[in-house]
Amino acid sequence: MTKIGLISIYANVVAIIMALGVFVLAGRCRIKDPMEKTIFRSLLGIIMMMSVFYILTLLRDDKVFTCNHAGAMLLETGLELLISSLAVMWFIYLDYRLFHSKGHLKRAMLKILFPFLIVLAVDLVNIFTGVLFYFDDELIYHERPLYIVASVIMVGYYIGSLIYLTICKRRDDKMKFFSVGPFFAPMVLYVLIYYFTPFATVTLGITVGLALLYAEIINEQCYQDSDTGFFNRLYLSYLRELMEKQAYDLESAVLIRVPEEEVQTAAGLITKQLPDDCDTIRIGKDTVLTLAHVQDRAPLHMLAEDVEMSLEEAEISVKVDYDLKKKKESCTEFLDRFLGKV
Amino acid sequence: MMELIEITADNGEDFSEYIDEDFQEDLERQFFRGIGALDDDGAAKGAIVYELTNAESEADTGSRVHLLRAVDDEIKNLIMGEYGKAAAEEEVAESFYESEDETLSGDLQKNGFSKETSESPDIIISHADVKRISESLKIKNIPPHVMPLSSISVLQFRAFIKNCLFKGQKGLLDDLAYLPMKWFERDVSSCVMTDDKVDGALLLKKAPSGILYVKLYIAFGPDYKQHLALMMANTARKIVELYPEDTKVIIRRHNEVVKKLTDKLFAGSSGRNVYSGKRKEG
Repeated sequence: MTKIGLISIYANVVAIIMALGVFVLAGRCRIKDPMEKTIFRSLLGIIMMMSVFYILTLLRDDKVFTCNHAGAMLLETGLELLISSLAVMWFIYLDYRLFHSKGHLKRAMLKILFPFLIVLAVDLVNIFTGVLFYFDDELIYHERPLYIVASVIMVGYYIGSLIYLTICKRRDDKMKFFSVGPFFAPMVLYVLIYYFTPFATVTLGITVGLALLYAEIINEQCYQDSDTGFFNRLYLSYLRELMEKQAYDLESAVLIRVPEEEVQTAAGLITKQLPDDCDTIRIGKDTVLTLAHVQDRAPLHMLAEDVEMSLEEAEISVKVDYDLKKKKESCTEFLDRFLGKV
Repeated sequence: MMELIEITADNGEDFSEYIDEDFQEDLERQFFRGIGALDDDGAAKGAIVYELTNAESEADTGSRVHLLRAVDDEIKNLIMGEYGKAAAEEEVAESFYESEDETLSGDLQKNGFSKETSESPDIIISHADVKRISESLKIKNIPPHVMPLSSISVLQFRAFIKNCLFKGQKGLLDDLAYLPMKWFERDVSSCVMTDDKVDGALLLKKAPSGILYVKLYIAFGPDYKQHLALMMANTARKIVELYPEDTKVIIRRHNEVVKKLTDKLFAGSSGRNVYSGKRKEG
């Protein structure tokens, strides 16, 4: 085995171990949306399999084991399919993480999968025809010009995801976004290493990126109240800082109080009544605060009525108060006044 | 001796000589108000109908005067005097109007309103125009997640309205929070459902006169553009299917987005000339 081969295998083994670790931890962590968790873990599953296939191709190339032509083609095709699957799964993950909408994803799936399906078809045809890549008589791997097209399609998913994110940000600046820098930075670095050195380190780069994304998810969870799933007081402090910098526009607030022992049950019922554009924070053992950007009493009244009806049906006593920010008040002044009043 | 009374949905019919049927129905709405004049015999002699705007927000409350009719100028002045008091009680900062009626404009001008002429933001679309739109949109099959208003539940409707309000979207309806689902025309109004939630609607109101008014046209989420087009196609088809050829649809171009859309779909259509004006109150 060559030194280059050993280093490359080592990098892929590290990738497998790291991915497996994050896979297990992600299974235990409290990501609210089960589908988001599944898609994220699928990314890790794919990268683990990719690393295994990379290791096998490295061993094959270094002739550590003998392999016939068909075996070499199948191994390489498997790797290509995994590379393509990772790209499309990343796009699916991004879309779902942005919108948390199964309905939208289902409708968009054909458009998202279309380039992948073309590459898949060509990969399968390649097994018999060698239009993308082939192995010569000495089982040395060669790429055809068409391979670049397939690569561009796969890179297109990553670049497309960045463009998509930018478009979504422009459309709705109130939407909550997550940073994709931690994912792309190590991936780009390790791809550059792969292209300028003989070391096959791409999987390690992607795994580091996924691990950093996972670290971000865990970091976000420090803002989450474990009993209710709402934000916690730490998040309120963070929002106060944003308000002081005038980076958060608070116009109204709703306070909901329920008996402490019922707060978990109440949280589920309250969540069903909450509209999309609000931040809901558990600020006390029995108190939940919803911050809104609306300057009208009618929606606050509607929300109050819906929460009251829903909790009274479940025989949970509830008290709801709401108020609007006055014209000359700052966001923090309003918050202090409202919380002081109630 | 004239008596001035509040006109509500209950006694609106008594003033049918002055208040047409569409406004009589509007008197049921949360922010619509009416003041009527009765003579000694209890016969209606005049009326004003107006609508409060921003009544429940921190922004200044406004009042849009929709009509002012009476047997003579003296009664109109009496009604306007009472209107001024009512506006003060409701803390109205500014009254305004917009109407094709030159007499109304003249009467209000005599009572301190400004007057200018401009193109109405309302455009009137004929049944033939709707048919043309329906054909030009080239949408062969409406997917199942686009459906008429009659297919959704009251709870789903309420949740959607709540979402609209929290996003600050009311369409043309200041009292959107108070309007029941049945107020809207159920078979031609369209909704879009994603993940069992309504995330878009094109809501029309059929007035007693038979005119269809587009009152709310909005969609949220990543597919909002496709949904807007699909809802329009669905509603246009239903109007062509269910309504006679003399049906009129009124679209109010109340913002740039709607204006661009109507300019594109109904190129050449323009609003009629209207008179408008305002008056500071208090």
